[in-house]
Amino acid sequence: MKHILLIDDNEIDNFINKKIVSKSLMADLITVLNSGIDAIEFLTNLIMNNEPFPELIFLDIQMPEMDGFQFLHQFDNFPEEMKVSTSINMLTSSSNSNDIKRASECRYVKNFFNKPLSAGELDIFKTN
Amino acid sequence: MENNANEILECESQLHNSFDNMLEGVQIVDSNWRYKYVNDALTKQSKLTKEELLGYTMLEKYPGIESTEMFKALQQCMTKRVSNYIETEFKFHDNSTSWFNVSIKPIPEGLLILTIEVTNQKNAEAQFQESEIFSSAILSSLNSHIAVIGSNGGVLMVNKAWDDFAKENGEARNNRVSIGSNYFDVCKKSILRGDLYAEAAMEGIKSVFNKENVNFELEYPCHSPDEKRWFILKVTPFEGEAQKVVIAHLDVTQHKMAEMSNKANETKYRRLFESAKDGILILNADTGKIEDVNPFLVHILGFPFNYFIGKELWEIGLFKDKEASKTAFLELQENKYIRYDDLPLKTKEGKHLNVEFVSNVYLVNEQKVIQCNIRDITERVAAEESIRKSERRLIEAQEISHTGNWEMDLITNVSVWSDGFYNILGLKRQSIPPSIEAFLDLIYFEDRANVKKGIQETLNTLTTSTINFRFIHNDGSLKFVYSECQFEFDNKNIPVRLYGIVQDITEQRKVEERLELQNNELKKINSELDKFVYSTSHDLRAPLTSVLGLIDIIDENILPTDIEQKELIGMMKQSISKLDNFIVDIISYSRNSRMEIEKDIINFEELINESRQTLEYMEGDSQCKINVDVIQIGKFISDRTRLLTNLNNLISNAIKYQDKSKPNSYINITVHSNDWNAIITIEDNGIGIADDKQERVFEMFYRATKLSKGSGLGMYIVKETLDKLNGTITVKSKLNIGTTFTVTLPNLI
Repeated sequence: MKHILLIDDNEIDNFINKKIVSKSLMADLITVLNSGIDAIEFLTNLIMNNEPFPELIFLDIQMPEMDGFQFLHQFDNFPEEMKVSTSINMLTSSSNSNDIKRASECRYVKNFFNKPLSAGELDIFKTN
Repeated sequence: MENNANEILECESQLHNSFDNMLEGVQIVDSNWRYKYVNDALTKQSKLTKEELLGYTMLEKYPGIESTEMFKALQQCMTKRVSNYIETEFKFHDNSTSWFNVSIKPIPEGLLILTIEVTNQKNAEAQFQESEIFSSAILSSLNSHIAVIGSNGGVLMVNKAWDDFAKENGEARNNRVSIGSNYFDVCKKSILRGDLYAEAAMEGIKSVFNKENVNFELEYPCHSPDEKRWFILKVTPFEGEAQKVVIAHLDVTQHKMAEMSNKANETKYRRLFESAKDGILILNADTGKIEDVNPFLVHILGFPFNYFIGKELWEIGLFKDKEASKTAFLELQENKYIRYDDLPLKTKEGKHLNVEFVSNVYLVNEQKVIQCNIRDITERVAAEESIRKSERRLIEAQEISHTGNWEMDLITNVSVWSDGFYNILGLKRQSIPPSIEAFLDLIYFEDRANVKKGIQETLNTLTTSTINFRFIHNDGSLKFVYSECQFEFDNKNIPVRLYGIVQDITEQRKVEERLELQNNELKKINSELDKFVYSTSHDLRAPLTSVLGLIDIIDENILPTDIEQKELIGMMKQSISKLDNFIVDIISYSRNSRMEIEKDIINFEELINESRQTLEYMEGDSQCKINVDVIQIGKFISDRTRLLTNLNNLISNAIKYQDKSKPNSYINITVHSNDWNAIITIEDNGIGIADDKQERVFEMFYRATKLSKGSGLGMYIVKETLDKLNGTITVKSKLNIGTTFTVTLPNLI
């Protein structure tokens, strides 16, 4: 089963991302959350319920309260065995190279996408 | 009888006639002492006339005569009838006395008395005797040893001093020169012993006897066993008698000693004069002209000795003219002393000397002499001048740099503060004397402990310590000072002196504080601007990307047959992309101008790939064949973000302006990098740029072709970024043929 988690505070972007992801990646389950805090809570619940983490997480960087980096920091605290099969993909509309640098320091971050997410960009996941 | 009587009378008369003319006084008295005959000479002697005497008795005429010597002799002759002779002094009535030689002869009538007055002879004799006694007394009383010798050398007379001296000297009796001995023999004995003085003395005495010399003098030493003595032998011919000479030995020891000490002094003085390291001039006190000059002055001035003699001081350049020389001379006459600390003097070679000049007047043998001492102080003056100069420079330097120096003698507790030090504190030198206590008092109380700690540290580490602290200025304000201090140690490693400098850095501090404030403000502004740009890039672009995403979704849902809808959607995408690109450009520009250069390790292959990925979905990308050829030798350092922006711009331009009419659009990207630089070329066969526009493509907001959909910022940003990285960019292009951009980038390794 393929579980994909979308985290973005922008409802429209969430809508777009969900559309694109659901169309191009044959996901079994797409969870959409609009804050980092919700996402951490969601992942914590997964651990408590002994359920696996999503295989893919699309994470927006610029979010209120807890931004993408803070989320990554929190994510780092989760048990290793939970995270091992998860890859995080950053979404940004700033194309700020510092952001890219910072995000790359987290070893679960695998890709970097400029918004809007396009169907073509997601082709890299299809090969798997 | 009568004849007889007449004969007698005649005879008597003849006798009287012969008596009359005699020089001796003649008188005949009878047995009753009655004058029977007196001649003229007698009347002169008796001071009575013939009439007053003849017929009268001697007792009548000279009452009291019976008690005189003369009368006794007369009586004796009268009674005994024998001739008598007497030399006697006779006293007259007027109390005058006369000496007479009296011859008395008894004659039948009575007595014949012949008298010769000898008063004069007698007086002369007495005088002679007196003078004899006098001379001998003088001779005896003289200290000089005097002897009279005859021409054969026989000693005729010696005085007491001579005799005493001979005795004192312990001369053997047979060797002693005294009356009866021979002076020449004594001399000869001495000559045989090798006494050269004796030889000279003998020659001299003989020369006087021979009248070769009027007199003769010889000075000779005659040392006794326990004292040094000198004598002068004086030989003078005896007055009137050529065959006698007077020999006098005068003791001149004291004279000689004085003379010798004079001579010694003079020798000493002369030696001083000759060897002195001061120039010395001796002037005539009356004329002021130079009489002597010592060798040292001759040496330093280079003129010959004779040059100086007879000249006045101004003539050798000591005073500027005769008038000045005269003034000095008068002052010298008056005060007996003048001194000039610095007079000019010129050597023969024309070199200027500074001399110290001291002159004084003193007496030598009752003779006024002026001595001038001249010391060459040229070097001292030069040294003093250079010290003054450097002191002045130090003061100026301290004034300009707002520094001061201070020192504390730890042994004597004496402190010294420079003018600069006082200036920093706004204090007058007279208002507060320097001391350790005052120094510490002037330090702002909060900093005092720190300063003491710093000084202690200096003592511990033996290094110069640097302390920043605050002084209390005279006006109450605080002065920030930078200070360095250092100890000086004696050979036993005991600190003897603490010294240091202080620099007023109050102004500097103010500027620094202002700068810091401004810097902080700038940093704040910068960071705010960065945040602003960041959020702008997000907040402006986020809605655009959302719209683009939504359009994509709509586009998916439109059937390919609905061409009109497709076109409209396409135009919407274009417009939004244009706006988005513009925002991206502005952000890049703003970031480039603000951000510091980052030094990243560059892998050109990877960098170009990243750029390609970014541009992968760009319109026209797929119609373009992109060839990459990278030759990277060694490590290359540059600012990765800026480099990527440049590559994106250059490559995207090449894609954008491809010539759609050409079937084989291509872009050749080559990189050649080494330790010094990297040369990147991006060559295309696109539409090309007209010659007249090539130079302008790097201008802000310049768009070379109407085909341009961009902001006109792309190439401007490339140029600006390369300027920042000390790189260059050149363009080669031909309209309708293609364009080649060549970037040269230094390796920031």
